[in-house]
Amino acid sequence: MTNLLPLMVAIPLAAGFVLALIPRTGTRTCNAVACGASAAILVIALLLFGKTDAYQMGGWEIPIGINLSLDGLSWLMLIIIAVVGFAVTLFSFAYMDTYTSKNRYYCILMLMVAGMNGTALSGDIFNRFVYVEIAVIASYILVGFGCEADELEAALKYAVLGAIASALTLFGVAILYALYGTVNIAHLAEKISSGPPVAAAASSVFFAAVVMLAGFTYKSAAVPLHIWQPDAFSTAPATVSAALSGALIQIVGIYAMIRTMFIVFGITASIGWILLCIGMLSMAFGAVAGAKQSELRRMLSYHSISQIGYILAGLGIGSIVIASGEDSPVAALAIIGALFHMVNHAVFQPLLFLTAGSIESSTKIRQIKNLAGVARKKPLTSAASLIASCSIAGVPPFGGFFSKMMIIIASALAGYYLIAITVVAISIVTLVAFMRFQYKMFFGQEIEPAKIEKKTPISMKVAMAALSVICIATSLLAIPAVRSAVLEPAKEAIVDRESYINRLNTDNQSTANPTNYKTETGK
Amino acid sequence: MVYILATILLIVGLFGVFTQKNLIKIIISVSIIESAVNVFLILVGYRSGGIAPLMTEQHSQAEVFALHSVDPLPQAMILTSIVISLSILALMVAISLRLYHVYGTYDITEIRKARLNSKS
Repeated sequence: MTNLLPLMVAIPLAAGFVLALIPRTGTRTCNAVACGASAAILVIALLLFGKTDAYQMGGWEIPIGINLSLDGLSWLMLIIIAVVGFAVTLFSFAYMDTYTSKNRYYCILMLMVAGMNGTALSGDIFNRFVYVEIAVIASYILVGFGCEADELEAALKYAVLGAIASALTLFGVAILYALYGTVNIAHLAEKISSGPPVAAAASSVFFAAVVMLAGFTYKSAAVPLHIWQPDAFSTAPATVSAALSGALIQIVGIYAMIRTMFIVFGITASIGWILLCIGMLSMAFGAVAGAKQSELRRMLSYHSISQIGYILAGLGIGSIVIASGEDSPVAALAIIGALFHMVNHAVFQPLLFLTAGSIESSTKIRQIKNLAGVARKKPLTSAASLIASCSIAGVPPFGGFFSKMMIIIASALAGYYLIAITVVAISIVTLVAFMRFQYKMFFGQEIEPAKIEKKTPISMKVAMAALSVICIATSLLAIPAVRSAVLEPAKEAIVDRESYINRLNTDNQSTANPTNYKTETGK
Repeated sequence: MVYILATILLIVGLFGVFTQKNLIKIIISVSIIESAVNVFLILVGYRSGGIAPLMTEQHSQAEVFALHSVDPLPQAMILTSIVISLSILALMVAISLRLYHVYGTYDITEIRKARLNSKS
């Protein structure tokens, strides 16, 4: 069977360039091409389930060439991108009709998907930096897509600070290359795990880790580097907010952070504590600041910060436990909880933004206080919103409950009772905020009857219904059998650094080259 | 020692981003930060007295070449990173031009004032 990995990058990239060529008037063709490309990615992502695979670009062997590599964690990211990408594309059919040049919107969206897929697959830190840049530059454009003053300001703020964050990440890559002479992740991990080249370089390695962590923290919009996020998410088109919060900040932020911290550097307690602190701060700040927002999408974006905080806190607890060398079940529980929450976040957050977009596009309501009575006019939208709210607030049968529970139990088992109690308290704050929002929508007194200017188009309904079904289905991940099939391989990929390093050799053998190019490049 | 240049550029750039009021100056500062990283990367591969990484008659053997040439990989990397910086730069300039059309100024404090006025 031919290798499917390069297609994950090639299909959206090709679709992007094709879309740019379609004239502005051909919106139906644009819809068809974009939808086809997203569906193809989704199908390939599903086909790749449970596989580990590698692909060497141009047939160069691994430490020299660039490779794409697939493991459980990458697969989880691919499926997140594919699902969010497909839902967003579907929703954009009708939603983006209010904007001009839909072809360019889809073109940039597809480039962003290509960049994210590449980030998830790349096995080379410099190559990953390039993919991350493709994705984030596309996101700068998408945030400012409407060209209204507010959007432009948000996009400019995001772009200026994002460029600094990217430069910091590249700085980290440069330091690592200076010390170890390689940028391949497996090769680099092998060299770092066998100690620094000279004793004095240990602090340089730590510096590189911190610099890269700062870059990824910015992109995952965690406190204290969250400032771009509420502005960007509340002003950008709702589909863009959905794609960014569901996929982009998780892939180029958290996934890249996990890959770098756990695989490249090997997790240490100090990094674990940094992750935990960032996580707790984001969690608390997001929930508290989100509670007093009056604008719907601004509230949702603050809660997104808070949910990212849960993921980081779970990872932090996991890494502290791993670094202390104690029992691994607790670490496994914390990391699985974090991964589970990533999956949940990738479903409920886009769903919330899409429902907000649906309400906005048909009633022009942006404030929570005006939402009263919308539920009676738009039953499907509000049902989807209710499902997503239950999941984000951690109401028991939904996925969000189980992932939060795992993180809380893990921190209690690890002996950090204070953290467990704080997490519980913040979950309650989140629950109250979303109850208030849903109460307004279902039972609020209408001050002036909401004007429904047009019905919800069928494509929007399908996108929201599909995400709602997935949102309910994520709770199935709490069942041990399903969890061990989906989340365990991802956890293994994070925890088991040795096997990633060992794959360096097996990958080379599995795709043996007809000719050996190695002779001429001596280094 | 040569890394001091990269550090100075980085600090100048960061200082510029956080103190300047003019959008164009902020964008220039960002550009300086990116240059600092590029300079650092190119210095990583530098070797004093090294030849350009081209295989010529004199250095046709891989071992001899590796002993004399500067490292070509960082050069390839900064080409990519320069292209990325350029695209971000172009994007930022385009956005600030649009903002100029809306507010008639590049000064961020003026823009903030105008925005607060329009909201209230």
